[in-house]
Amino acid sequence: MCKYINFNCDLFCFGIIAISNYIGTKEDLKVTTLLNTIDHVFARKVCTAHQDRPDELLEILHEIQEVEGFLSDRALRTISKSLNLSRAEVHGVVSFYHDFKREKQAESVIKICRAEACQAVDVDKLIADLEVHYGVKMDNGGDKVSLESIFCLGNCALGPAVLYNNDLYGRVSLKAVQKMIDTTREVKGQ
Amino acid sequence: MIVNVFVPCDAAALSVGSDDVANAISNNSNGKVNIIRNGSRGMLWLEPLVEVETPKGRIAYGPVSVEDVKSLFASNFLEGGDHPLLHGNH
Repeated sequence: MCKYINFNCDLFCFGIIAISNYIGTKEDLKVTTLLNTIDHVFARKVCTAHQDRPDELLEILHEIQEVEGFLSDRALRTISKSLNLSRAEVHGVVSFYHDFKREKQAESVIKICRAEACQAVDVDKLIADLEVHYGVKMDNGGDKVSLESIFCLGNCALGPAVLYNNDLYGRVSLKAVQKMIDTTREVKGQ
Repeated sequence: MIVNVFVPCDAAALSVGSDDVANAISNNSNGKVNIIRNGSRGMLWLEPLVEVETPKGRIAYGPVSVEDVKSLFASNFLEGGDHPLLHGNH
C-alpha cells in the first residue's frame, strides 16, 4: 500500500512538473508570438503615408532605412502586413539590393571604389593605410568606422573615389578621409 | 567693376571641392566677383577649373584648391594675372 502511495506521489509530482513545464513553454510561445504581432510604429507610419501601396515598397524601405539606419525584422514584418505582401516577397527585395542593411551600421561608413581606374591610382595603398589607422578590416564591419568596397562611382578621372554620407569625393587620401570624418563629428557635436 | 568668375558644379568638380573654392573666392572678393556655377569642360584632371571673364576673353586657372585662392587674388587673377595654375598663352 505504502509503495503504491509513493508511486502515486511520484507520478503526481512528475505530472505537476510536466504541466508547469508545458505552461512555461506555452507562455514563452505566447510572449514570442505577441512580440511578433507588435507593429513597428515608424514602419506603420511610413506605410500609411504611402497609402499601403505595394508598388511603393522601395520608397518605403528607403525611408525607413534613412531614419533607422537599417531594416529590422519587426519593420519588415509590419511592411509585409501593411502592404499585403508575403514576408518572402519583402525579404526578396531587401536581400537583392546590397545597400539595404539588416543590421546596425557603423557611425561612419566609407565606401571605397575598387574598380580598375581607382586601382590604377593605388586605391589599395589607401585601403591599407585606412585599415591601419582605424583598426578595421575592409568589408568586415566596425563600430565607429567601417570600410566597404564598391565598384565604380563614375569618377574615374579623379580617383581614388570615395562615397561618404552620399557625397562623392575624388583624389582621396588618408588625410582627406580623416577630415571628412572629423567634420561630420564636429557637426554632430561628438 | 564686377567680374564674372565661373566655377563648375558638376559631380566631378564637386568631388574635388569646387563648392569650397567658390565660397573661398566669394569670401575673399570684397563684392568684386559674380560667381557663376557652370558645367565642366571635360578636362577633369584640371578640376576645379576656375575661369575669369576678361576683356580679352575667358582665362582659366586649375586645379584650384582653397589654399590657392589667396595667391590667385595676390597675382590679380581677376584681370588674368600670371600664376602657376594659369593655362594657355596670354
